[in-house]
Amino acid sequence: MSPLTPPPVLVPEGLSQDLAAFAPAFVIFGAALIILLWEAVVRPADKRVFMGFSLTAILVALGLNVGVAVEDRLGFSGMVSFDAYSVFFNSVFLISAALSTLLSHDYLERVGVRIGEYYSLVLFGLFGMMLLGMGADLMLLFVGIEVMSIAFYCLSAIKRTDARGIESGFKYFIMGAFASGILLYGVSFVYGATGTTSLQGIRAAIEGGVHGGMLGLGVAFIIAGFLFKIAAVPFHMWAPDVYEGAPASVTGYMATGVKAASFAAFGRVLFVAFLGLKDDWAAPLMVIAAVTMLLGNLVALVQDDLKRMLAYSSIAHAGYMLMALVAVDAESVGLNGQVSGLLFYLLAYTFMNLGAFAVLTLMAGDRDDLTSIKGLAGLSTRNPAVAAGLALCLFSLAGIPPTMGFVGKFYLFAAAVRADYVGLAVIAALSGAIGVYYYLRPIVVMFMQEGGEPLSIRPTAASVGALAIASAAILYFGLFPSQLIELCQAGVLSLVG
Amino acid sequence: MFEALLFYTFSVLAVFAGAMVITRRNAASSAIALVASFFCLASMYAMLGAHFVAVIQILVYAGAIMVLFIFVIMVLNLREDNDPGWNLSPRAVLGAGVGGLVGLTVFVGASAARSATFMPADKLDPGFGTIEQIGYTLFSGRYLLPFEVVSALLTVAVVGAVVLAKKEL
Repeated sequence: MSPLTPPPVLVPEGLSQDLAAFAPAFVIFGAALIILLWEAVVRPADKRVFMGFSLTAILVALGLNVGVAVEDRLGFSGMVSFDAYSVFFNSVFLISAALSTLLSHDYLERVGVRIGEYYSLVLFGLFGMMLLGMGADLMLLFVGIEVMSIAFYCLSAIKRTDARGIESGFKYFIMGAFASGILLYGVSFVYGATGTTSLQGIRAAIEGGVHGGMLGLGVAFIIAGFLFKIAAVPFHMWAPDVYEGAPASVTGYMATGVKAASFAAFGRVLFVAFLGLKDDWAAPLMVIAAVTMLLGNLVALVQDDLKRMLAYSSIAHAGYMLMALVAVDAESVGLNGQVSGLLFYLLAYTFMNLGAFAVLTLMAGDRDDLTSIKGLAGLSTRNPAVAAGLALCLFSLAGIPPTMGFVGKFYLFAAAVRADYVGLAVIAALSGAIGVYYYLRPIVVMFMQEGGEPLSIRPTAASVGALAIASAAILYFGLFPSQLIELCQAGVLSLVG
Repeated sequence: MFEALLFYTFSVLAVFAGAMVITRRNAASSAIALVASFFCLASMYAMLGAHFVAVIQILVYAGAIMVLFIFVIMVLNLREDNDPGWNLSPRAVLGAGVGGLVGLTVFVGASAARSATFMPADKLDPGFGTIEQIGYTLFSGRYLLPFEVVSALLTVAVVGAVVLAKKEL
């Protein structure tokens, strides 16, 4: 056996630029580690400091992410892609994390979770999401999914004395591990068929004529793995129980951040690697999108608990967003206009859903039954500002103008129609109409019914601040969406070049 | 010819051991069957030229991880009366049916595959599978970032496990 000649360059080329572009993720990971060490010396009464520290880290990372211009390039030997797409999604994750961090401290105090590690795990999860936003290689995407998922398995069970919290974490863990296994199985098939895990390499191999059973199986398993992560039917079974059992601040974060991250990676994998196979995966995804929004909306209709209702509505929203993936044009002409709706909608969903969860964290206490819709009765007289904020978020979720949710839905539906999926758009509109009914119900209860039992809603500055930020964003981007839409289109364009 | 014989022997053994893992009533027997399955896999890696991975498979999986499994089984003190037994509900039959169907699809799909990358063994790089080459790939090549991120993954897992399992925080 002849000795190997070592590769000539030991320090990969462009490492310093890669590290600079990776800085937001480093800030987040570093902050998570600092909290772990700091937690050892902080008195229990002073744990509020972690909320401020996490927020600072997130804002610094957001500033680095948006403020430092990075040219479109592949970094770390092609493992990650720094482009407008990754910058947009990283901003979505950071916003989601910032808002849910704002909701956390007072709520956690009330439910008796007084540990700094909570914020560590929030930041670790955020780090995983950012890897998913940037990853340009199935290997890194898989590791990113695992970093994110493991943080969330723990977060959903972090209320350790609560049986439902433990059930939630355990269910999520078992199902999530299974889904990760299937995803990885798919990755290994794709690697076997194409000889590479790099998304662009896979695309080149497919264009070069690789096809057949092994590639098909790989693609199918990878898609199934992602569909689990975004809780699309028929892989949605875990979502309602997990969302309901997890602490409200975690659920809000999970429904927005994890969903956005999974969609970011899903979109990149489909558009960069598997675009050539669009004819094969579009039809199944279309059916799944239709069933997902119908089932999500129909089941949400009969929920009496606000949290559970939002869980099912989150499934329905995943269906709307899947529509954008289906609407992509295989010729990649006009791709930007159609798919950018996905990016817009994910940001809109982040604001409106976390706004609603801000109110939920105010309602939910150490008792389970406090989040029922009936409990909202008379909120408008006791706390008009909070009621107005929640109403705005629900209007936006229902897709009523002039909110961000309306603009987002409009773009998604228009994309489906333009791509000749009129049937899908009709189903989406119908299920959207169902949605209007159940989103309006809490509003009716809030404004028209007098409270039977006065609920102990104690608005705190942080939660009200989060609600105010979300409401302002929903209104502002609902009225002036054009700049944001340009950003979304730039993001999608950077993906396909 | 001899290699094919070895390959089929170990494949059949691996599948058989895998079936034993999920059908034994005694958790300790399942664990031992899992060890057998790991050994068969390791021998396949060795036949594929991945000697380092084969050794690691035995050291880490058959060694360290199995010790953990056995340890947990011992601590939990599982007895057979905890076993719910075979349950042939319609749901289980449906699940087994769908699982079988997926398995069949995988089998047919993978065996019909014509890949761009099938490579005869004599065309492999002479250093293929050696620790040296794996080291270069991991630390100075393509996989530097995922490798480092895996250490982040382990950190998250350890922190999470401690947060969930420790009595007093």
